[in-house]
Amino acid sequence: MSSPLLIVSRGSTQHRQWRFLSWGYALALAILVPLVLQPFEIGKMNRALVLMVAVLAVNLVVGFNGMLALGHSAFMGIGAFVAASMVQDELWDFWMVIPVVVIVGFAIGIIVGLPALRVRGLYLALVTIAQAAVFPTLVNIDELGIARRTGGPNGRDVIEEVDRQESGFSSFFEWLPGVDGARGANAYRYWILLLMTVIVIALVRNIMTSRPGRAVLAIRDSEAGAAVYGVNLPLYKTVNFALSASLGSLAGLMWCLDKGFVAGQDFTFLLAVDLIIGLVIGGVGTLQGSIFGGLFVVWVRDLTKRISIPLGFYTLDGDGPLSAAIFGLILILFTFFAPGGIASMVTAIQKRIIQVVPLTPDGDPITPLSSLDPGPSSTRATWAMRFAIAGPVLLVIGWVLMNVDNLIVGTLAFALRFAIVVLAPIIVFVSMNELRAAKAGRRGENAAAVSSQAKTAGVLGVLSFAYIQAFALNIALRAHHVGHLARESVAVNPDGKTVPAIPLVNEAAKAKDFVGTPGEFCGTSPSGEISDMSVSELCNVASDAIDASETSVGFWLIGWPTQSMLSLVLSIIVIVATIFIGLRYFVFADEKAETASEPAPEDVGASA
Amino acid sequence: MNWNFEILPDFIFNGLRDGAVYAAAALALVLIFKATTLINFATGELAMLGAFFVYVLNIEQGLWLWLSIAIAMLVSAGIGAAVERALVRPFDPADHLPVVLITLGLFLIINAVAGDVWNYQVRRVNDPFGQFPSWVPNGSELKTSSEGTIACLENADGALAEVAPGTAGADMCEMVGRTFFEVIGARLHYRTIGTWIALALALIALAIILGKTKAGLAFRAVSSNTESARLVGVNTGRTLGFGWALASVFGTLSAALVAPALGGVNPNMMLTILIYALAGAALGGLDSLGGAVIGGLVVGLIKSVLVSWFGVVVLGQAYFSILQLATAFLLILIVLLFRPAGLFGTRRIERV
Repeated sequence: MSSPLLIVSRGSTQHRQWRFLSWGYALALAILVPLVLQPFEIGKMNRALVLMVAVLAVNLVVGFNGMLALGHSAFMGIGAFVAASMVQDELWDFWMVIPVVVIVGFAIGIIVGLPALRVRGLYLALVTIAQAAVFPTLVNIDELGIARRTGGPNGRDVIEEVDRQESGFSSFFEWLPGVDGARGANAYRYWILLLMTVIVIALVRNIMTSRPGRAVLAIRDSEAGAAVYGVNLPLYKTVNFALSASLGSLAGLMWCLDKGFVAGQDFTFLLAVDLIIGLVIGGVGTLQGSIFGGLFVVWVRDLTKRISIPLGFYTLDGDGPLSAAIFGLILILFTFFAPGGIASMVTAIQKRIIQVVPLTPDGDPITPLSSLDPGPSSTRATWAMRFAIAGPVLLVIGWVLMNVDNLIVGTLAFALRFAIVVLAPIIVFVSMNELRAAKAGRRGENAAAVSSQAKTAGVLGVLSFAYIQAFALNIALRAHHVGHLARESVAVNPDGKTVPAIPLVNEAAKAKDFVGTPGEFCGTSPSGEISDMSVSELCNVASDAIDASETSVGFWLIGWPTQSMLSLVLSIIVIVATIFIGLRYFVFADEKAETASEPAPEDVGASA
Repeated sequence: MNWNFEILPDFIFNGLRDGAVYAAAALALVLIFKATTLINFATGELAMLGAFFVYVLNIEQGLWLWLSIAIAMLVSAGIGAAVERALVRPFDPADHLPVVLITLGLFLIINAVAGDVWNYQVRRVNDPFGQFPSWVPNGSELKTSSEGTIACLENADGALAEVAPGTAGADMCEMVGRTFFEVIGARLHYRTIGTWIALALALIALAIILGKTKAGLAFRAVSSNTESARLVGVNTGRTLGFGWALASVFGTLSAALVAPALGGVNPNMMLTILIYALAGAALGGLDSLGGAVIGGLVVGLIKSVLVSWFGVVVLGQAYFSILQLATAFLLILIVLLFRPAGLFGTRRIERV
């Protein structure tokens, strides 16, 4: 695969199709999270969203401005404590605290950043590392009511309700996917946090493409050069740092919102190091890097916690201090071998698949597409064929691996089984392209072979995609059934009210710091009470639903467990709209655009 | 306002003892900064590892304490040089980010591995300067009152407990008394004097190594101008490794000296000391060895006199004791605001 499989000009139909597809997949993933995952897993995604914003805040300084900031845990802590105090003591709503938190973070960022950023070098690292070490000690000061507001060494709980004045926001969120079911509270938070994260990412993206953003990037590339072009170095560096601090504080507010509990010992230097690790492994200086970084820190920590390798005399246990050592090792390995992080790997893979040719001001591709075509010796159809075969093969391997009772292997198996979903559109794209090229005579004497290969690959791709969809639909239907069971498994509390059993079981599991599914939790025959009800009784009531949910923990792609009429209607609307837009983009628009924007026939002929 | 000047000398002595430890740690930072112009955030953890070597050799293997310290210093020197060779040298020294990330990774790994091997409990160690030899006057004898009871140091804030002679308490007093003697009404602990002497000896050794040996000359050449040093035939890589080795020795010294005062060794022992050492190094100037020593001592004094004596004793505000670490942070900010190069550091001018 020396040349990319697809070469499109910016803004062409195919490019728009590709972008539509990427966004569609991103959206599908975002929607599936609250539907598919277990409540505690949604909680982990929420934490990942919080860390994404925090990593992005660090990225603003480290990645985009080339300064070293190691103390964002303190900014997060400040944001979290301000939010907790305003919500608990002043009875504000979370959304009302956001401006306060942002302004406080900005001011503290200026105070910390200004002295260090006036001079070149590692001084910011020096100041921020001290700041990270100092912050947890300051929380406990008794004077000025600080300890009363922060809860001192014990931390403090924060109210679960996001919007306690019933101003209509909450009802607005209620018909979002997943919110009305057993996943309730976590899914509800997920949507709020996702909204905040998306807004922050869009904001940072726009800042970075604007004039101040370009100045910040110029400072990173060459301070002297930027100064020569009239960039006020201390001003831009400090404002950028303060902006980063305010985003860090916002992440703190999100932390508070997600966890419902804040304590000084959550915001130590180790959290700041986690953010740096997320940044480096995600990809320094890229927006996607922050997304990957947030996910990495949460999920890989979760994975390392489950490692337990007995070595005879000694058990390698990832749940102890060694999880930090694994992170340190990963950090060093990435610094050595993949300094660009996951983002650069993803970009490298994407470059193999699609190349977007920029346009000249006239609207033509900078290099004519025909000159980039590999001609009669094209191996693209062969690659499409390989992908088309690889999908089902991976599916089978994944199915076999699924029987191994190991979380990491299980995750891998899941990924393998659904590789088709990602491969299929690539196969279809490439096949259609090759068919078109063969028709236009660009494949010379190989035209017949290429088109037959492309046709087979395309059909195979479509078939396996359809199969996976059907499989997913099957699971979705089963999940729908589970939804029924879950709603029926209501217990009666001492006041005579009916309460849902599964959320209570989940709550009991959470209260005992149990990591796992409710089924696993009930399998431990738990004792104790929650909300005046015995946990074992709740387990009995919910047992059918729990059993069903264990077998159908859903990995599906369309449809969701319709738990209310509204979300059923909504899901139908979304599916119909997706199909409609998809058809419009893929089938009809293609023909129209073809005649309008393809180069003239003689251009094509010249290359053949 | 309670200007209790009588106990001020106590605080000064304590401050200078802590300061000596910070000075040794700051020297470790500055040696590496001079060699590679980067701040080694794993300094504290490498030092902690050295202190654990002392613990293993001395307590677990039963070696003589000073021999254990010497061996631990040598081993850490080897580790420091190895870290430089394997993890730092492959990177371009002008690009700070990768190397700082490496030191952060080391920080995590060393801390976690130490935590896994020795867990996070504090492990008692022997004090190299535990007691005076029997020929010096016993500090607590000076406190024998007219009733015949002996007053001895009972707890950290200097409250005196009186005990009758001949009891177990009196024996305790006798033992405690052998750890200090009185100067201008304050207790000068053997540990304090020992720390000063150890630091002074180490400084003399450092001065001799840097001033009189070939390797020291090479180090000075490389730290003043790497490129020129390479042109005149200095093996810069090996010299930088030598700098890291020296730094690790000083780190281990600081950790070994501070461990008894902290009650023992534990994997997190150097976290706060690193911050004080950073403040000391920033105050003295990141590239000045003498500045690091003075900076470290001044940080110790500020922490003890300004915060513990003035804040807690004079102002009577107990919460000042929490502010000790914050003082180091404020000090760094103030230094950067008014004298970014530190007291003795060289101002760096960039030519383009």
